[in-house]
Amino acid sequence: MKEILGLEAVTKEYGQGDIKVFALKDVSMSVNQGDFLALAGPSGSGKTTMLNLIGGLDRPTHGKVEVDGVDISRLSGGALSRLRLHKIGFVFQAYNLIPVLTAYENAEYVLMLQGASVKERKRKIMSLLKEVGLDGKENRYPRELSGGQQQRVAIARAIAAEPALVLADEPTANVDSKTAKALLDLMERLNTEKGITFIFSTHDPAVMDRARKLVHLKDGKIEEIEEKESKTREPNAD
Amino acid sequence: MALSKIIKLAWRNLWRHKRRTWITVSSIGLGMAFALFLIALGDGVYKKLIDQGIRLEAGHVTLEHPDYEKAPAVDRYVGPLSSISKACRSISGVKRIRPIIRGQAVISTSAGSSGVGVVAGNPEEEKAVSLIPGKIVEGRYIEKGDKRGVVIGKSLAKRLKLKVGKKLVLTTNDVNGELVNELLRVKGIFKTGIEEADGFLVQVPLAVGRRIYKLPDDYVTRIGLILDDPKDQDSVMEAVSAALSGKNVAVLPWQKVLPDLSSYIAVDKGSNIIFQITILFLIGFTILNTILMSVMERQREFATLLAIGTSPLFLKAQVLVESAFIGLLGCVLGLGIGGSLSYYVEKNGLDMSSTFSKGTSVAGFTIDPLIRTDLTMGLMLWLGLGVFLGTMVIGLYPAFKSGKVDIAQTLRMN
Ligand SMILES: Nc1ncnc2c1ncn2[C@@H]1O[C@H](COP(=O)(O)OP(=O)(O)O)[C@@H](O)[C@H]1O
Ligand SMILES: [Mg+2]
Repeated sequence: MKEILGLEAVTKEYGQGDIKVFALKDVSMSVNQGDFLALAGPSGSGKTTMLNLIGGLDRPTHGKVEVDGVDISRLSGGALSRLRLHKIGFVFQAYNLIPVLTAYENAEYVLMLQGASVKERKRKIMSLLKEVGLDGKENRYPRELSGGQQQRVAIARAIAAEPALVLADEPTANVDSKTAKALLDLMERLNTEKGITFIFSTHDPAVMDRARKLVHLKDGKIEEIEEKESKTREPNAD
Repeated sequence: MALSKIIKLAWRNLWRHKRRTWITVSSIGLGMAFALFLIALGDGVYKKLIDQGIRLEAGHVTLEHPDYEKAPAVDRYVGPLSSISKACRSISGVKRIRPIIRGQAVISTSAGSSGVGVVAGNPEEEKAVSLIPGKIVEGRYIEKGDKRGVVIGKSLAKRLKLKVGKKLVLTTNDVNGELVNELLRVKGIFKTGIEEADGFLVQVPLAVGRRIYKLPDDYVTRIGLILDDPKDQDSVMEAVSAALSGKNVAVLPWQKVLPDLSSYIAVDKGSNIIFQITILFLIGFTILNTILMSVMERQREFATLLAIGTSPLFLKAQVLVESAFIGLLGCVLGLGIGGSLSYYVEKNGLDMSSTFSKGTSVAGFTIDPLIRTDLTMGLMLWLGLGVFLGTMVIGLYPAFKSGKVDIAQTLRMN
């Protein structure tokens, strides 16, 4: 299996002097292409910090973060921005869709930034929205969609450009358990059928259960890495 | 293309807070309309004052003896009139040539005496140019053949108990410095409302003036040029100077001949500009406030856009285009309202007689209570361009801020 992500002795400190906070302490791990990985841990354990470092939204205080063979801690702001555009997809807890854009336009946005033609965008996004279960809702604005539907748009936006890695920070924390399960079904299907690598964080045991690789974080350190390669999946719910 | 997306996004973002956008756009529009109207109104009043001034004194451009300006005296005469007229008539933009003799005198009657200014001109020419022929309230205006005819102002007549048909004695020094007396008969009495004219000005035919002051034939103290369009003043002056080069003639703009009026207008314009700048400053503050507010409350959105790979430049451009839209809409509204208001007042006039007390005057000139705006394309263009560019400059700071969002930190905040 190809390694898509590597963390080497990554430390992230906040603040300075006496009031230093270690959000992450000397963390090392690696993620392979096609992984379906959960960062698990209570609030304040460093999940968001870790995702931010992987996604190039923040820089480590010490250590190395390698995405697809590139040490991103050394990249300039512009290069990081391009890396995020081409290699990483983001899904946020609060969906973070652009309110003035329709579902279609939100999903299409990254492709537009990449310079894809209108025709190509249309072909890709229409089939993608169908795939995430938003058939017929292309022209709705985020406020006209339920939380679960908005998160589906966010997932479509995250995978539209076929990134190497999709990072999802507590993607199901804002929805009820039934919707959470449906969203996880979707992510899992995209993972197995399309081979998209997912790293998502959660503090919900029901969600952790769905991961095939589980990284337990506590106080900024990795407590345990659980491989559940043999886990049998339920038959597709949809 | 990204640009069309930027424009689309900017336009939609503009209408997220319809009320706020409209308040901003209307405050730009109303402030601008107000400023435009005031400037056009001021320009209209100035135009009228200048027009009155030149009708009283000479012309838009005045030709006189080079030393006349320093110390006006009848022995500093200019001419020969026939050849200067011939030269000036061929210059395009010159509408009329108005020769006058201007002098000082004392007039006396049994009731008393008073110092006056004497303006001697061709009655035909004066009727076309001067204010006075149209303001005769008793008797008639002077005619070319009047050997002893004079018209005087209403308040002078009152002071010296003069009536139409009565005689008066005019005493003055001629070009040789000798004291001369001349008996004249009042042909008419005028009332312009301008105290400096009504109380201290008398008009006689050119030939009478030349006889009194003993000026040589074909010589006068001033030749006024009335222009088709006052805006051509500079080019006409240049052409006249060239045509008359070698002759002992000074070519002066009205500003030199009417220094009081000229400085009044300059001061008044100055204080208006301060007022206008204050208005524009307040508008600018509203614009800044609106754009900054809309940027601050979208921090999270900007952080998201940056996170998913938008370049900071794209965001900045988007915010700047939003400012451009606000500026553009404000300009359309402002020029629309201000322009139509000014246009209306230019065509129909605005009767201010209830506001102005009778005879309100500046630098000796009465403001006509029916004021008209002077709206020009240039004014609209400059004001529009100024406000639009101002909006863009104000928009720079919020635009700059939008690209500077701390992504990780902002996304953490819920
Ligand atoms: N900007 C910051 N300044 C100081 N401390 C921070 C900052 N961001 C996060 N932290 C701290 O880092 C630790 C890890 O936070 P976080 O990564 O958000 O954890 P999680 O996502 O697991 O809840 C927490 O103790 C948090 O208080
Ligand atoms: Mg978190």
